[in-house]
Amino acid sequence: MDISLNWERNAFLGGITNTYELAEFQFNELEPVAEGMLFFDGLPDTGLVGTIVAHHLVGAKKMSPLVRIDSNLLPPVAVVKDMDLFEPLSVYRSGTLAVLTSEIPIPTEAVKPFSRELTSWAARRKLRAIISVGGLADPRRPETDKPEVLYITNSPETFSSQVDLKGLKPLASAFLAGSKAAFLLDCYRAKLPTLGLFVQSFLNYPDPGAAASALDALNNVSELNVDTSELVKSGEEMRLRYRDLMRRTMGEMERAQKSRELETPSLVV
Amino acid sequence: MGFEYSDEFEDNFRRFMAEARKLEERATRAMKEFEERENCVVPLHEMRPTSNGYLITLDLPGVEKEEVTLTFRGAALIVTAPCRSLRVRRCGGTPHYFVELPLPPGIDESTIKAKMRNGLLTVEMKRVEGGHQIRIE
Repeated sequence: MDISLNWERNAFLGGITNTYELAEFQFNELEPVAEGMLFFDGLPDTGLVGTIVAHHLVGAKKMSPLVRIDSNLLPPVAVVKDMDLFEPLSVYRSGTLAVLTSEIPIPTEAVKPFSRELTSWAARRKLRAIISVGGLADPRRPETDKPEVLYITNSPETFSSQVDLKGLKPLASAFLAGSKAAFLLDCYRAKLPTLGLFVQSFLNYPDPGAAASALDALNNVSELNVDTSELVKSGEEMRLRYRDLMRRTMGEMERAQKSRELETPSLVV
Repeated sequence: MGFEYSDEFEDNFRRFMAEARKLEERATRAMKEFEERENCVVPLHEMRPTSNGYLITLDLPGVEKEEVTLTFRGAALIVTAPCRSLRVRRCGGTPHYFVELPLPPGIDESTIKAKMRNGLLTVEMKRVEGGHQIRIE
């Protein structure tokens, strides 16, 4: 990495304390990233479950932007809010919690490079643990009032004191596809303590009910303890608000072979 | 000769993906323009085949079953309902949900059944029965 070029870019962009630049993605840090943070992945996926949780956390905890992420692999889209202009892919912070969220789905071609470089950033910044929440499409979801939560972890000792893993069902044998699959795989490979929560949800409809179930399961994690009643109360409004993001995410999910999640792996050892 | 991964293959793949995105973008733009022009909201929906027909679901948040108008006309299913969203406001006033779904041929309209739960409309329909069984020799 060319340090002088980096300095010039930082001076030009203003307010950025550090740019962690890898092959494809730039992580523009707006303030120093403390060690030992809990990282929550809320990238758009099945039922937008993780994204709804992430947005709820950002709003409920009044989180501030920590990292803005940019890449040539992302479409040239900017978000406008209160005369501010920023990248759609951001990490927000409150105390020791860092939440990754996005206003756009990650294009399928960018999923693997982004996942690799995000994991590299997470390891470099010595994050304490990773929690990734997603939906698991289930055709029986319309008849279900309390969606089931399944989990996968490479470090039960890290999470069992705060998450009642015995009360959840382990994800025993399944295919995962898309951004969650790539990120979990990279976190496992990098040996970062990781918990993946997958909630029974709609495939193609935003699912605030499934998001509330995920947050209820994480309620004892001090950083993630928020009131979920608002998610249920304003669920119908949310389903409308997330309609466009859901439609865009559906396109990317189709390209990421999301239907594999309905298949069973053939390797039995 | 086996399959060989080459720059040419990668270029073709990228071109194909770019073309697919272009088509998707055009479809999205056409739908958003339709929504603006008609002051309506096209609900998210999907149609799946079943063993004897089709199952259609439509996401109509905030709507009660008494408010939905479901019409089978020609070879299409037309759904309209009021939309009371606080966020979706346009200069034309409060929009409504509207979608016209073209149906595959051979639907027995007397079998169409619909139910509504938590703002999710589910419509079931069967294909026309008939045909003749073929004996396997």
